[in-house]
Amino acid sequence: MSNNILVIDDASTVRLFYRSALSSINCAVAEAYNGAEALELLYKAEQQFNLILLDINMPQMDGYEFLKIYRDSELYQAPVIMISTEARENDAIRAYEAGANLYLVKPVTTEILVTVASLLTNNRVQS
Amino acid sequence: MKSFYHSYQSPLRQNQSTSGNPDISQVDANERTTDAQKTESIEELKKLATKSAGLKKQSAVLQLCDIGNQDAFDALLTMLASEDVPLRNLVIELLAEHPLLCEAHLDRLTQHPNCDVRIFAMNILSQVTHDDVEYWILKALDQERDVNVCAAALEALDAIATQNSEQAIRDIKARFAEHEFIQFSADDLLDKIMER
Amino acid sequence: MRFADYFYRKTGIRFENSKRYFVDKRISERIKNTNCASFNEYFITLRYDTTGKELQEITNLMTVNETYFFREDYQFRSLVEQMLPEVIAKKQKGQTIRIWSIPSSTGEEAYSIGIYISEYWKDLEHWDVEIISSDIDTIVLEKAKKGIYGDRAVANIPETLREKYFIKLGNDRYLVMKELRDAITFNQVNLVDSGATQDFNKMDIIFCRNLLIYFDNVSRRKAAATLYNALNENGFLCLGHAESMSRISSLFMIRGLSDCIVYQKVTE
Repeated sequence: MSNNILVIDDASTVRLFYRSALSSINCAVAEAYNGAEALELLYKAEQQFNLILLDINMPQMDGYEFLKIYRDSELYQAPVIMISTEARENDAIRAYEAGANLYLVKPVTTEILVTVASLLTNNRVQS
Repeated sequence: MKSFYHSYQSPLRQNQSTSGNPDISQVDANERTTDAQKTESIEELKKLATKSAGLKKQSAVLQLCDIGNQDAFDALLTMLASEDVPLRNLVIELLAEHPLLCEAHLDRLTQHPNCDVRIFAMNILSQVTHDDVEYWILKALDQERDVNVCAAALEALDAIATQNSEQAIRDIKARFAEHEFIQFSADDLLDKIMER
Repeated sequence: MRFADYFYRKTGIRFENSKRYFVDKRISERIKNTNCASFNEYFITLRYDTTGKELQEITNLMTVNETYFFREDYQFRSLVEQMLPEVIAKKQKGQTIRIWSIPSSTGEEAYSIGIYISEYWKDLEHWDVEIISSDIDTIVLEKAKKGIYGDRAVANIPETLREKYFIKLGNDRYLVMKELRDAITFNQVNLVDSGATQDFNKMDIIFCRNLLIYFDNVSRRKAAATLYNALNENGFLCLGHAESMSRISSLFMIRGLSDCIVYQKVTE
């Protein structure tokens, strides 16, 4: 069974990069521009998501606000990886306190993405 | 205004509503503000932008954009550097609607010591409508050493880059040769420029 | 100054390049009808017409919309099953429920709302409901008030309801029954003109479907603020099914109801 991964980032290039990076593992990628668009997508979606990749700084609704609403809602099911440019120690702590399952600092590599996505979705990396 | 009651079998009920009066308190919060508020100082606007929410916050930031002088812009930069996310997002959104203001304070925006602010500067420029935006971004890129600011700049160039950007993009590729994501987005952008 | 810029400044409506043919055709029509010799002459006439009549004429032409009864009716289902019950839970008995349908176009949406509430909302007998429907275009408003529709427009309405709420005229035309027509207030408004929208307030539910798509970013933000201002606390905003507030404004809370996504005004 393929995994569904939701990528939430306002930068189209970043979404494209994640999509391309994740193409080596068996998964379908959906994209959202910000937290609000992601919530709408989740409300409308017929499929279940196995993993969410979440940027922090985004217009209208940022990653923290999304995560708070998501975790308190009936939508909550998938683990969340927060990926942001903020590299201070505090940023990671804040992300974990907000309920992220993992915090990564941008820019991330394909290797790291594939490894953590596989771990969190229990998917084998296809060689 | 008429009221709608179960109309098929019974005649319409008389209108008992008193809600037709305009609510004065809501009226002007919409765009800009009342004359009384126009005279508010930059300090007061800063406070209002920080402490209030919703449309009041929006109105305070808009007024700072309208004032547009050194002090007002400093206030906006402070907000961009702050941890107040809704405020930061508002400033990004509204500065993007004020290209001339961005132009007047371009260097202070794109060469801010805080690299988060420089990333936001690129987010702003990616939405600004102005003939010189590509040049502004290239100028900012020239000295930039932070990988994430450069990534944001490449994203900002995505929709607008012309042949003029090609050399700068190749420079970035060389500058961040070990960064997979920069290579990916620079190549993607170079492809787009070729197609244009 | 370009026509597109002028028109945008006056109405907040921006045309994409893909609509060029449509825009040109409409302008040619007005050049002909005003007996102008050229586009330039027409454009001058338009700009120096202090009555604003010509601007209204061209606006009417530019905002033609096709619509029909019970379009995207899953939202009306949500209205009677979820939104209205939430609205009355927070209201005092005797208060009026206000619903705003904008753009009205030729009135199909407002009448559909009226029929839905009348048919399917069981609490109606205890409450007064006002339905206000507005448009920038005065000609469609006149049509809306008349309430005469062709068979295509009413095709989605179940037979029994069509018989109940319409009088069949000749030539496959249908007239909305008087009680329903009288129950809806049609009036003109420009959503991006904040001075003009100030009387539109204390709304509990707003339907604003397929309008924001005509606006550019700045006008969208202004329109979002106007809609927000017009709503009561906890009031609902419904957009078209392909539309979203997510890239426009963070003022609203997103609510996933069983049939649709709506936006709610929540001020903590």
